[in-house]
Amino acid sequence: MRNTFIKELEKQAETNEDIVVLVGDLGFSVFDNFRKKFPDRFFNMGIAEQNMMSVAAGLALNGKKVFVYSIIPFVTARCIEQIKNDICYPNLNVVIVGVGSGVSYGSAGFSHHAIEDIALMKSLSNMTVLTPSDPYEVRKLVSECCKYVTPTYLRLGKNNETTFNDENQEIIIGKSHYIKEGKDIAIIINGNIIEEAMIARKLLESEQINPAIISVPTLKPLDKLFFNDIFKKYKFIFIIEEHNKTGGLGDSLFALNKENKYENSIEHIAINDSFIKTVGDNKYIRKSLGLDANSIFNKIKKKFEEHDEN
Amino acid sequence: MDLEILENKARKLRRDILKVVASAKSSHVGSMLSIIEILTYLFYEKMEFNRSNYKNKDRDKFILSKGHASLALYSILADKDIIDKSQLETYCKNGGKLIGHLDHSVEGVEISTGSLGHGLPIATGIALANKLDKLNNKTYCLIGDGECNEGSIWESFIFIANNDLKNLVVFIDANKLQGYDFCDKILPENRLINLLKSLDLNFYEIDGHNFSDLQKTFEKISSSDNNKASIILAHTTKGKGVSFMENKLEWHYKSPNVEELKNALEELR
Repeated sequence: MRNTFIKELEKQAETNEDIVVLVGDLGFSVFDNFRKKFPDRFFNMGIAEQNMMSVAAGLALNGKKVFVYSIIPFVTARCIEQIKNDICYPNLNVVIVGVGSGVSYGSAGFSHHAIEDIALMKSLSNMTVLTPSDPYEVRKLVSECCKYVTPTYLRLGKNNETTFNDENQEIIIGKSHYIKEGKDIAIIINGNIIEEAMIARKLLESEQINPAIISVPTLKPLDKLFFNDIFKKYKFIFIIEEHNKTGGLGDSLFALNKENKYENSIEHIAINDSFIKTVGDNKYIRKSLGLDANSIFNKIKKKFEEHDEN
Repeated sequence: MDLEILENKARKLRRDILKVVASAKSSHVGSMLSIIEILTYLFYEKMEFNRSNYKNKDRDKFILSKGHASLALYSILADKDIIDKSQLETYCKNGGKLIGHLDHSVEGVEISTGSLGHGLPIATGIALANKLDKLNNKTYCLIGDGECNEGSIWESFIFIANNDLKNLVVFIDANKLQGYDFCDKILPENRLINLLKSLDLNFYEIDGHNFSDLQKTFEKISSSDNNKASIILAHTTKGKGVSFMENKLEWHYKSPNVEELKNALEELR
């Protein structure tokens, strides 16, 4: 996702001279080309995220399209008041790009994990929250972002994720869509946890269970029309996200479901309000949290069998 | 520069502020009174800022980082007919138009402030954008001495010191008092000055209530041959102009009662 983002940003910057990029002292090897190509529009702001966010606001006040880039905790929690007061309140043209969704930075530890960021960003008025699930969605969303003048949070995973979208899938801010159609069960995901969901789906297929997979590239505003349809069409809903249960995609979908008094069976597979102390890589920690393909497969299979017995 | 005009204007603004604060029973009057000469000089002498041009793209911009002194700026906007004079009376009142801390919903206000340490980096971003666009517009920012406790101020200064922002002038309203103490008890002024000097920017120390000092400093700034931003540490008096409010912590919070207002206005006739 990261390299796709930078590549697309580079492409946009070629034609959009208003684009200015601020990074919080990272980008080694990945931003080198951008920096060389647009030396006047790329700033390493140092390890000073509060200043970086407010400078972004000042640039945007003067008509710039600003992309601010760092690891998620440092462009969200570290400077949330700057984002709230200086970017969201005046509704400025700043895209906050965070890399390392969920436990992407596995062994780096809790300071680098991003499991509250959606809750924080979603709670800010005027903020659009984008949670692409594969590099294809990232590429499309970067170009979408350039069409809008609004505070936006773009949550990226890491690098070298598999692409699951079809090459002609339309990606529009505010819309969600199917990755796979299915029967009875819908698995709704945000972010690169899709890779676990897709493996789980393969395993389920061999048991003659065919869940739909749904991606949510825009978490806020939620595509209510689309999800109302999903709630009507699928009895069993599994929401999977690499984020705390509080404040993420789950909350948004539960609220919509309740608002319209649907009677789906909904299970939320996410992180259970606890800091992660497990040492290990992304995959290893996912497994310890029950967010790996096998755990997902088992949960869905169990649910389906219980239902069959009734 | 006509000294008499500016001095009369400053007195008028102080009277306007006192009346509104008394009517609203609101706080921060001391913080407003200490910045009047700086604002008067900028808005009536230095910047071309009036009803016909305040939205022009090529305008100079003023960012009031110590947003609790909002009424000082609102009073100027009313005096210049950019907002309706009757709006001043609604300051901090139920259903009113003027929010206590500086708000960009008010015509002529560039950006909202209130939480300290935000205005300086925003002004820095504006100055940077002007530099990128090769425009000559100036950006002025006013921060408080107490506000220099904030880490984000120093993050900003680190950036400013390294980026040749000649188009940026930062005022520090050194009124010596902050929320619950003299500034000296938190960050002693001599230490603050040493820190500021160490940034190696154009640094000036002036009497912040003296128009001639302000003018001379701007002459020095415009004749400086480097590309550095300027910092003007303005020594001021909190509550300036009303003898019983000067240098008193309580006037960060209190508003004058009828008797006090009468006496204050008497002093500012």
